Amino acid sequence: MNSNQSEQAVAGRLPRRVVIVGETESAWMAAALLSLSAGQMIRKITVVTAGDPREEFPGESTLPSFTRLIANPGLGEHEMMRSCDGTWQMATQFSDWVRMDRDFWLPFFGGPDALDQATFFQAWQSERVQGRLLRPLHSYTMQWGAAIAGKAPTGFSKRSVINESQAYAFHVDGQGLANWFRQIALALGVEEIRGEVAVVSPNGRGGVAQLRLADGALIAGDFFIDCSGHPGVVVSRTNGNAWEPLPNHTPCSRMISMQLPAGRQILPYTRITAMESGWAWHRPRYSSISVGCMSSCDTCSNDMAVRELAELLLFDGHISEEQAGSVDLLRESLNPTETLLQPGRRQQFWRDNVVAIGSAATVTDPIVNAGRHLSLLGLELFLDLFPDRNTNADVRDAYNRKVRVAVDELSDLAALHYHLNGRADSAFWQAAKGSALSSTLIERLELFDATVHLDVNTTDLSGVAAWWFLLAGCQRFPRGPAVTATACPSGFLQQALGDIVRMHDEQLKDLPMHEEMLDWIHAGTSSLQRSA
Amino acid sequence: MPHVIAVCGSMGSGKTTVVRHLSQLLPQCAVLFEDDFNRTPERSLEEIQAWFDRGADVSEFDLSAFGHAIDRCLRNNDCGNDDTPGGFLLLESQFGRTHPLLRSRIDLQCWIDVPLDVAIVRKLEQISSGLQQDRMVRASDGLSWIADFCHAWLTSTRQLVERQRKDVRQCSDIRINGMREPHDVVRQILDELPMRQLINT
Repeated sequence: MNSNQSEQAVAGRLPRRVVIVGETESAWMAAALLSLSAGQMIRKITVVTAGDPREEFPGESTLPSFTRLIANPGLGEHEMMRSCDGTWQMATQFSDWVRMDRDFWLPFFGGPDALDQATFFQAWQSERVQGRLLRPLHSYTMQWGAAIAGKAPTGFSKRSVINESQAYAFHVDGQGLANWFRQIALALGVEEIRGEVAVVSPNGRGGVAQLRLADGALIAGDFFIDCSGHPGVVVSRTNGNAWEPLPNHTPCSRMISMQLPAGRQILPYTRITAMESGWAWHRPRYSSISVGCMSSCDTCSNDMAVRELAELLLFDGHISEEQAGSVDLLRESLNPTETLLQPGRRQQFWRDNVVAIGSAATVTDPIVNAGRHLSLLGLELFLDLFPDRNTNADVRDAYNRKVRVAVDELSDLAALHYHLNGRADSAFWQAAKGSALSSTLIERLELFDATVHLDVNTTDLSGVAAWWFLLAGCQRFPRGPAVTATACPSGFLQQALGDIVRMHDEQLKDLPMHEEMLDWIHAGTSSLQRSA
Repeated sequence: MPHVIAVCGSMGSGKTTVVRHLSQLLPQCAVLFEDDFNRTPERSLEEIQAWFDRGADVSEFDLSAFGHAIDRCLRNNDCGNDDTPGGFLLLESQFGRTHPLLRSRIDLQCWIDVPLDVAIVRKLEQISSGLQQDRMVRASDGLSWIADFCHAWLTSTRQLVERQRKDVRQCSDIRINGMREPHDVVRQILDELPMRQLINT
């Protein structure tokens, strides 16, 4: 068989028509990625949309997995940022979480992963426990240095260590992001059909044969990707694929979000502030700021949550005293959106010829910021295992297992945030602290306390580091130093850690201010024009 | 190497008092005051306003002499020795980590928080008390001095202090209520130290 014949044989087995349902960020990201990766092998990719592209993860920014994605050919960081009012995110600052007036930071981490025999965390913890170190763990990352210095992760003409590691993320407007992916997908030949899905016709194997739209049009397909958001237009109408709770309870059930005009100073980091009734986020974009709060319907009213958010916004100088003093006036002037959150996941993310991606597949607590990350993870895994027309049960099982592990691990990480809070001054925080933990999280914590080892499945350095920074920031330390760290030559770790700080300080000098770099990007000036 | 602790706060926050108390409790402790090296107060109101209008970049303030003094302390190990993990260098600073020269040198930064009205009244109280004790100053000159201070506050100092409260506070590790008694503030800082058990207070 020659190569042409071989390609034809492969193409003969591939789905002829893939139907993506939804107008969300996940839907258009799926269309764009599928076209870029397998567009030539699939005869037709159709996106069925019920409206204009829309934001799917309002209280969230991205994670480094997204940064790695847009570094691929056919995509582009600056174009993406221009499309969605994007700014860089180097870290997240948590205020009043451990206790009032105490901050900790979760920077993205690009290394070093080890110092001699010890991991970076083991090295720091060993020095700390022996009273030889005062600096917090986060202060050894260049991302934190850039965050407090207000610097961009990259220079105008020169890349930086942060660039190279791709350990940074973005604050984005989700609607703009969905639009950007849509433009890419349509340019690659993806078909868009506008219409509400009225009927989902089963294929008798637990999957779907075709969709009937409200106007009567029939859309048949070999494969269906449900990206319509929670609860999923397609998956929720197929039998036997229930929405089930995550392994850990999340105390937040209500999200209130709004937009504020941006100021001149654009912070390259997210701020999370613990409030009495929950927590608030502040994510600066180029021309607006996304702010909002998470709270529990069980412990406070909607008005109470809005009022508390208003106090915070007043303190930061974002709103007037008049606005802060009246919930009605605040509603009128800032038009906050209220969303009820239903954390959970599908029993099966992929069933027969239907796969659910995005919030149709799972809804996690926004504190871990994982919505877009999980969409991307699902899509990349799906592309890795790309099915033929007779989808294989083993492949589906492998997909479901891997996605479940990732979702459950993020559920553990979210639960750990609440478990480690030291507030206990309100019903919300007491309930958050008292929530039962999953057995995997209990085991992880026991192992960590005894050995400094973190048993997490993610191979991504930023993913492991999120656990390190959270534990250290909330002052949850293992009982003693790791043997690998104590075995290091005396003075070596001190020297190595000191060198890291000095090296970062030097490198930070070369980076432009965040606002300066953003002005350049959003003005649309190409690097060629600038150097000329 | 000694551990570097910066105590920051707006004028009138009581940082000098806290630094003095703290220096008596920390073993092998040296102290440096940024004001001894910072020439900002000598700038005219117009200069300050122009700096603010340019974007308020703190690196425009030359703290190189302060940086050299810190490095000298660390290099000479004035505060202790390598075998004793107990040496400290205390900095009283207005800029803290917001200044690029100090960013990598500070290990722990404490922000002493007081409301703006308290800060201004404390400062006026301090100025008045200083003027009263200075027999060479005539009453009319003293009042004129206070009037100048008030004018400066309304035209430039206030926005400077607000910016400082926002930026320096943001990059501090702990924020402490400066309305509390100095010994409570000091106790809170000591409680933050991981080598707390090694400090005999």
